[in-house]
Amino acid sequence: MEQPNYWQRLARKRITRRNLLAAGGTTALGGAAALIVGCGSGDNGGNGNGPSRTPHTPGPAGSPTAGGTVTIGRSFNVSGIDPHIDLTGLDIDLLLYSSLYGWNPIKETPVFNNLAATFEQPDPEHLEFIFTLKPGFIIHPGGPGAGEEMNSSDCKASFIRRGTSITAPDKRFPRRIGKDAAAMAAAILTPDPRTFSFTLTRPFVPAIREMAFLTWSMVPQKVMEKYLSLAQKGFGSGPFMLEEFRGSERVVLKRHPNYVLSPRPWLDTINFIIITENSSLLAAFESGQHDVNGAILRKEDAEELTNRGDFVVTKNPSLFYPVIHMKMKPPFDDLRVRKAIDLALDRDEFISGLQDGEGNYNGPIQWPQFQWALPQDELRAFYKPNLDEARRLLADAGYPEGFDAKMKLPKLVGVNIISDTAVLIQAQLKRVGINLALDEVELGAFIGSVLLSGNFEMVFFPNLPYDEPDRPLSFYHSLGVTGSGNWTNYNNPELDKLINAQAEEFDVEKRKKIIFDAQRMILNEHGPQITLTGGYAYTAHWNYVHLPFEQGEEPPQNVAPFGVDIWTEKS
Amino acid sequence: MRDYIIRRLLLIAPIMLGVSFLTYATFNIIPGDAAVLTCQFNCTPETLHDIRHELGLDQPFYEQYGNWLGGIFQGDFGKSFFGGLPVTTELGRRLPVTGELMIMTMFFALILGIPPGVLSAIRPGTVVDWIARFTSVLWLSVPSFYLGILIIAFGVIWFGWTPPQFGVRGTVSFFHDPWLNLQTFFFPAIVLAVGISAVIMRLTRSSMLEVMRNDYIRTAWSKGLRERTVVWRHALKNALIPVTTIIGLQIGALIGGAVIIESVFKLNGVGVYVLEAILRRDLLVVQSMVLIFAATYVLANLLVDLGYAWLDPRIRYG
Amino acid sequence: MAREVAVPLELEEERPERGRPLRRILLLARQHPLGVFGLLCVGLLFFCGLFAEVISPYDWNDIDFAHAKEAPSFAHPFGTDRLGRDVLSRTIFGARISLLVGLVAVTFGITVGTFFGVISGYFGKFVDSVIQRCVDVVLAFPPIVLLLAIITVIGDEDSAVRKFLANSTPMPEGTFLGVPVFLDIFVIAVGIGIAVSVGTARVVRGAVLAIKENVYIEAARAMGASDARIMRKHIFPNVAALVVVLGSVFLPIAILAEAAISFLGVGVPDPTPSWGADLTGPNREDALRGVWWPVFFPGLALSLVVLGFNLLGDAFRDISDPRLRGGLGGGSGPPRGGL
Repeated sequence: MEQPNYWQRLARKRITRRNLLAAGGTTALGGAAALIVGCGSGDNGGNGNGPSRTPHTPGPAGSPTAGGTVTIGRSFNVSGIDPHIDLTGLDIDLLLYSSLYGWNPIKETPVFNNLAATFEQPDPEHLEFIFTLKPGFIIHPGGPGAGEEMNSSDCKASFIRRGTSITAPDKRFPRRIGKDAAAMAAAILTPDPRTFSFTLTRPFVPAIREMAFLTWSMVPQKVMEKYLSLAQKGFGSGPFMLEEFRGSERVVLKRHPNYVLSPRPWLDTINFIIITENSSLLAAFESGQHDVNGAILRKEDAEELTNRGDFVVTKNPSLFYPVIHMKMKPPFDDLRVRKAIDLALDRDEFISGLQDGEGNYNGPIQWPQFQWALPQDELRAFYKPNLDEARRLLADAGYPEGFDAKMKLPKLVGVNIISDTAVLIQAQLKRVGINLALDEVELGAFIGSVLLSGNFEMVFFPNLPYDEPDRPLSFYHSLGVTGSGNWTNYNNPELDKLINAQAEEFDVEKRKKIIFDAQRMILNEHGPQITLTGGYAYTAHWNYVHLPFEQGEEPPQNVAPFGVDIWTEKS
Repeated sequence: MRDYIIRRLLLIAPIMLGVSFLTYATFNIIPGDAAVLTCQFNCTPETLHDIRHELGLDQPFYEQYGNWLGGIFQGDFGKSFFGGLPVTTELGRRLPVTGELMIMTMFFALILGIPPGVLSAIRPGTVVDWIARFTSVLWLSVPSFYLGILIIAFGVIWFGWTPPQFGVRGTVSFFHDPWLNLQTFFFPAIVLAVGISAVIMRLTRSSMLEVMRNDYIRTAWSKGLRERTVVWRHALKNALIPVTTIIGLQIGALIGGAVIIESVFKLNGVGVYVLEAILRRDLLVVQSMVLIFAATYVLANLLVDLGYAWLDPRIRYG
Repeated sequence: MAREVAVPLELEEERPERGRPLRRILLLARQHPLGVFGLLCVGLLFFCGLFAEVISPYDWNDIDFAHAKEAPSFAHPFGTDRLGRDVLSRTIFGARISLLVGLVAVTFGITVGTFFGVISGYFGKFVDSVIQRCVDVVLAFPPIVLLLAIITVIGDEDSAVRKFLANSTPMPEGTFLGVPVFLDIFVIAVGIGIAVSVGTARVVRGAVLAIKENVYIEAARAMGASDARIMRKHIFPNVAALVVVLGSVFLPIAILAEAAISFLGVGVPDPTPSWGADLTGPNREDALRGVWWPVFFPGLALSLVVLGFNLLGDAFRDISDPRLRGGLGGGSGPPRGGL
C-alpha cells in the first residue's frame, strides 16, 4: 500500500491495543459498536499494526513531569462505567480498576504489569489456571473497603460477576469455568489471599487473551456487595479515582494517591468531555480545548492536523467491520438471493466513497487480522460485482422484479458513517431491483428490541474490533456469540463443527487451516452475514501530551498499566 | 374573583388527572418491552422475569399507574432505565438552563414585539407599518431550527465563531461567568424569540388600533395632549392587556421551542432531556417529563387567565 | 394549535368593484402583491410535489462520490451533498413528501375533528362534556410534545395503527407515488392529523353551537328528521366553509410539524428527502465545515412555503373582510417551533 513492506509488517505482527487512544477516533465508532454488539472485547480501540506515525516535533526530552491535567474528547455518551456490563465506558474503567494482566499485541503475550504476578498452567491440556497476585493494590479511599488490598476473593467475586451478570457480554469463556454463579463459585478456589485457581471444563484457545480484555476488570468484593449498580460508581484499585460522572457531559478522574506504583501516575486529573457532534468536537480539539482527540477523523482531517505540526497523528487499520445480517426466512433463506445480494454489492465503491479510497475487503474475519484473514486476492476475485448474474439469480429464485425489504440500523448521534454506508447499500441493491427501506433505530432500542430479539429482516451495523478470530466466527455458530442462539437463525452443523474445533486447537497452523476452511464455507454460503470493507482509523493528540507508546507501536518492555505513564508539559 | 379562582382550580384537577392517565396509558402501549431494553444481552426468560419484577412491570396496569402517580405526589418522578439517574436530579441540573432560555426568550420577544406593534398601529399604512408587518410574517414563517442552523453555520463560515457551549466547557452558569453565559444564551433566545415576537407584534398592533378609536383617546387628543403622552400614557396601558394573554399562550410554543432549540444549540436543558429519552424509549423519564410539561402549560394558562381577570375589571367571569 | 384571537380592526378600504372576472383578479393582485407572491410559493409547492419526477434533474438518491460536496454550479444548481446527491432534486422531492404529509394530515384531522366537533356541539350535555374534557386533556400538552408522543407511539413498527394499515387496508408498504416507505410516512401524517383533529373539534363545536340555535334546525326536528339527517343535511353544510378555512390554516402547520419532527429524528426516515430531516445529522455537520448548501436550500424551500401560506392567508383575510386588514392576530401563523 502506501508504505514499503507494508504486508510484511502486517504479517509479522498482530493486532490489538489498549492504550490512551482507546478514546480516540475509532473508539467513537467502537463504543457505538461495542454497545451494539455488546459482546466484544472493547478494549482494543479498533486498530492494530502497520502504524504509520506522522513525523512530529517531539517534546523536550527528559523525564516526565508530575501534575497537570489531560482532557480527552469523546463523541458519544457514556451510559455507565460498570466494567463488566457497560461497554461505552471501557476507556474510563481501565483507569479506575486493576486488571489481572496487560497484553502485548505484537508478541501476543500477557504483560504482567498489573494485579497478577503470574499464572501457571500445569496441565498439558491448558485447562487449569493458577494465578498469583501482587501485594500493594490499595482500594480507593471513600468507598467500601477503602485502603484494603485487593486479594483473591475480590478476583473470584469479579469473575463470577463478569461471568454471570445478565447484561455482561460474551460468556463463552466463563461458561467453561462454571455454567452459573454457583458452579463458578465452586470451581474457583482461593487457597490464600494471594492465590486463586480454576479449571476449565473444555479447552478454550482464546482464554488467555480473553482475560486481558477490559471487561475482566477486578472490582473489590465489598464494592460489588454494597452497590447493586456500578454504572456511576468507580471504587477500584486503579491509578485514578472517580471525581464526577455526568455521562452526557463529562467524567472527571483524579489521581489515586496510594496507587501501587506511587509516586505515579503523573497526572493529577484526567477529564473526559463529551460532545456528540463530530465537527464541534474536532473544532474544540484543534483550538486546544482538549488534548486528545475523540472525534472520528477522516483522511483530510488527519492530513490537516499533520500539516499543522502540533499534533501526533497515528493511522492504523480499523478492525471495525460493517456487516449485514440477514434473517434466515424468505427471501433470505434462499442461497440464490443471498448470492445475488453479494454480487450486487460493489465493495470498491465503499472503499472509494466512504473510506477515503483506503481499505481492503473483509471476509468473515477482518483483513487486519492478517494471519487469520483470507488473502485479499482471493476475496477480491470472489467478490466481483456482477449485476446481470445477480438479476438472473433473483429471477431463478422467483423474484424477477426484485423485492422489498426493510433494513434496520442503529442510530447514533454524531456517527454518520453508519447511515451513509446503509444509504450506499440501499442504492447498490436497488440496481438489481431489491428495494430496501431503511429504519434507523436508537441504539438502546436497536440492541434490545432488534438485535437480541432477532426482530429484523436485515440489519446493518459496524461490528466491534476483534483481534482474535474466534469471536467473529462465533457469530456464525448456531449458538451465536452469546451461547444462547444466533440472531439470524442460521444453522449449519458443518460450520458449527469447524468453529468448535478451532476454539480447541492449540496448534497455530492446524487452527489456521480450520479457520480458513470455515471462512471459505461461509463465503460460499453468502451469509447469513455479509461483510463489507475495512478502512483505516486515525487518532491524534497534541504533542505536549506524552504517552509511553503510540497507537500501533509495540509497548516498551517495562510498560505500566494504562494511564500511569501519561504526562503533559502543560500545567 | 375568589370564587372564580376556586372554580378554575377545581377544573384543573380532573384535567391533570386525565393528562396523567393519558400520558401513562400512551407510553405503556408502546410495543418494545422496557425489561428487554434494560436487560439487553443474554436475556433469558428468568432474567427477564426478575427485571420485570424489579421494575414493577409484573403488576397489573392500574397498580403500576397508581404507584407512578403516588410517587409523583411524594416528589419521586422515577428514574431512567439507562443509568438509573432519578428524574429529579436531572431536573435540578437542567431546569436552570431551560428557565434562563425561556426568560431571555420572553424578554427578547417583548422587546422585538411591542415597540414595532405600537409604531405600526400609530402610523398605519406607512412604510414603517409595512415593514413591521412584513417582518412579522417573515419571522412567523422561518422555522426556528432553520434560523438556528443558519446562524451557527454562517457564524463559523464567515466569522469563525461558534457558540461557546459547543466547546468543552458546556453551559456556564450566569453567576459563574455572566459574559460567557450571555454569549451562550443570546442566539438561541433570539431565534426562539423572533417567532413569538411576531405574534406579539401583530396582537399589539390590532389591540392598539382598537384602543386608539376609543372615546377617551379622542378626549385626550382634543385636550391637546402631545402624541407621545396619548400613545404611551393612555393607549398603550390598555392595549397591553390582551397582550398578556398571548404571553401565557406562548408558553406552549416556548416549551416546544425549547425542545428544538436546545438540540440545535446544544444546551443541556429539559427539552433535550425529554427528546433523548423519547429516542431511547426511556419511558419512565418520558412520561414524567411530559406530565411536567403539561402541568406547566396548564398552570401558566391558569395564571394568565387569572391575571387577565385581575387586570381588566370589565371582564366578568360568571 | 393555531389560536384565533379575536381581532379588532380598522375600517379602511373599499371592496374592489365588481367587474369582469379577469379584471377583478388583476385588480386584486395589484392590491395584494404579497398575496400574489404567497400564491406563487404555494403554487410552486404543488407543482414540485406533483411533477417531481419530471422536473428534477437527477434521482434524489443518485449517489455519485466523484461529485460529492460540490458547490452550486450549472450542473447542480443547488450543489451536491456528502454522497454526491443533487440537492436540487432532493429539495424538489422534499416538496412531494411535505405535500403528502400535509394533505393527508389535514384531510384526516379535519374529517375526524369535524365529526367529533359536530357530534359534540349538536348533542350537547353528556356527550359534549365527555368529548370536550378529552379535548381539554389533549390540549393541555404543548403541541410539539404531544406530537412527539403520538409519533413515538403510533410510528413504531409494531404499533397497532401501523399493523392495521399494513394488514387490513390496501395501503402499500413500499414505494408508492414515487415515495419510498409510503406506509411509514403515511403513519406520521396520521399522527399529525390526530393533533389537527383535536383543534378542529374544538372550533367546529363552537360553530355548531351557534348554528343549532337557528330556527330551521328546530323546524327540521319538528318535522321528524332524525339526528343523523339534521347533522348531515343542515349542520354540516353550514360549517363546511369554516372547515375549508381551517384546512388551509392547518396545512402549513402540518408541513412545519413534519419538518420539525423529522428534524428531531422521529419523522421521515433516512434517506427519503424531507426538508426537516435534511437540516440535521450529517448535513448539519457539513454545514459547520463550509458545505452550507445541503441545509440551506431545503430550509429555504420550507420557509418559503410557510411564508407563502401565511401571505396568502393574510391576503384572503383582507379580501374577504377588509376590516381585518393586515392579517392581524395570532391565528394566521403558527407559533414558532413547529406548531
